[in-house]
Amino acid sequence: MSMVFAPQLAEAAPTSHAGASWSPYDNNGGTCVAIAGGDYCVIAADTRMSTGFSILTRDHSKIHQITEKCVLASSGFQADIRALQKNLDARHQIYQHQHSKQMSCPAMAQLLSNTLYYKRFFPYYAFNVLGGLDTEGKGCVYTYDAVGSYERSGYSSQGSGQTLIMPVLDNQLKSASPLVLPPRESSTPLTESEAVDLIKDTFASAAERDIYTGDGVEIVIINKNGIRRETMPLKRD
Amino acid sequence: MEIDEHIGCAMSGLTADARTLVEHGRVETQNHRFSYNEPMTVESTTQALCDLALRFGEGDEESMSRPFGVSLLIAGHDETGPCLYHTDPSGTFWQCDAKAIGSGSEGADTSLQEHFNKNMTLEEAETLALSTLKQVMEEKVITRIFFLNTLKHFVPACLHVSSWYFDAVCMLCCNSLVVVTVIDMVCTIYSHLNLGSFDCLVWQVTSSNVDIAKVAPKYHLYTPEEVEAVIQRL
Repeated sequence: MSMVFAPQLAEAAPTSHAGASWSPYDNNGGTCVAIAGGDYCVIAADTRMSTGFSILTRDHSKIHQITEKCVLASSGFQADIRALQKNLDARHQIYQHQHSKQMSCPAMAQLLSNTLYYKRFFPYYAFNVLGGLDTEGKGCVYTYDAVGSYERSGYSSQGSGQTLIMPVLDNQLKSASPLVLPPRESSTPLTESEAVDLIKDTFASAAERDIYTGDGVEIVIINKNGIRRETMPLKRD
Repeated sequence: MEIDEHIGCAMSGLTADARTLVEHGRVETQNHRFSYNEPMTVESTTQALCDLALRFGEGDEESMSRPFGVSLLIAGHDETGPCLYHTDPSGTFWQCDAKAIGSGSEGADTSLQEHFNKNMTLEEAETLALSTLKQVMEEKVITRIFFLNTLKHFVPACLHVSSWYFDAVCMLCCNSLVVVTVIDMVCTIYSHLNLGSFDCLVWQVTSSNVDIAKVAPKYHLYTPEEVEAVIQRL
C-alpha cells in the first residue's frame, strides 16, 4: 500500500509483490434486501461495515431515503455509495424545483440507472436496491448492477450475502414458473408483517455463514402511512 | 404541431420562429422521458419553452439578437388532467381554459368568454370553435383544429376556411382540448370554395373544405360523412 506514495522506493528496492498495486475501490461488505407488497415495500440492510477481514463499525446504515416514497439501499464501496446518494439527492432537489413535485419511484429508478451508466468506464462500486411505492401506491423494488442495468421485481437482494439470501427468497416468494397462466403480478402476496418476519429470518441465516454480514439489521417499511424503521440485532462474530 | 405524444402547440405570429421553439420543446420532452421514464408535465414543458424565449435562444453562439416573434398555445394532457397555457414573446405564460390568439383574437376571446364553460363535451367544443371562427371571420382562413382527449394522444385536425384575421382559438372542456388555429393564407383555397368576389366573402364550411381528425385512442381522420355531421351541428 505504501508503494503508491513513494514510487521512487519501488524502483530502488525490487519488489517481491507480483503486480500488487493501488486500487481505487474497496469492498465494505454487507447485504441489502427488499421485498415489495401490494401496498407496502420493505427494505433492509445489515449494519456492519468491514474492510478485508476487519470490522470498521458495527453501526453503519446502508439505507438512504431519497424521497418520501423511495428508499435506496446499497452495498459495496461505501465512499462511492455516499457520493451516489449525494448525487441523487441533488438531482431530486433540482427536479422538485423545476417540476414542483416529488419524483416518483419509477422516475428515480430511471435516474439512478442513468447516473450509474454515466460512469460506465469508472463505475460506482455500488450494488443497489431501490424500493418504494409507485405512482399507484403499489410496492416496487428495482435491482441494479454496478453500471445501471435495472429491472423491476417483487423482491431482490444484493451484496455479500446475496447468494445466501436469494435462494431463500425465491423459495418463499417466487411464483411457480414464469409460464404459469394466468400471469402473476410481480408483487408478492405476503402481508407486511409476514414480509418483515421473513426478512429477519433471512438475515439471521445469512449472518451465520457470511462473515461480512452481521451485527444488526435495519429494516425500513414504506406504506401509505409513511416510513417506519425497525432494527434487530444479529450475531456479532 | 406536435411536441410529444401528449402535448401539442398552436402558433401565431412569425411561425418560422415557432419551429425553433417547438424543436426545443421536443428535445426537452424526450430528454425528460430518457432521464425519468415519464412524460413531462405540460407546465414544465411550457416553462422550458419560455426559458428559451427569455434568452432569445440557447447558448452563446446560437442565441438571437431579437425576441422570438411568436405566441404559442401549448395544449396537453398530464396527470393533472388536460391543460392549456398561453405564452408570448416576453417569456411569460398563463394558464387558460379557453383562448384565442392572433389578429382576430379580441372578438374571438369575447365570444369564447360568453359561450364557453368547462363542462362542454367534445362535440359542443367543436361546434363552438367553428362558430366562433365564423363570427369573427369575414374572409377565408385556413385553420387547424387539434383535439386532445383523455386518452392522451395529440392529433391535428384541419379545417379550411379563409381569412387573414384570426390566428388561433383554443378551448378546454371537460375531457378534451380543442385548439383552432390559422396556419396560413393560401390563395388557391378560393378555387375550392367557388365563391364570387373578394369583397364580401362568406365563410362556407362544407365537407370539401374541412378536414378534422382526432385520436381516441388511435389517430382517425374524419371521413367526409363524419365531417358533414360536425358541420350539420353548426
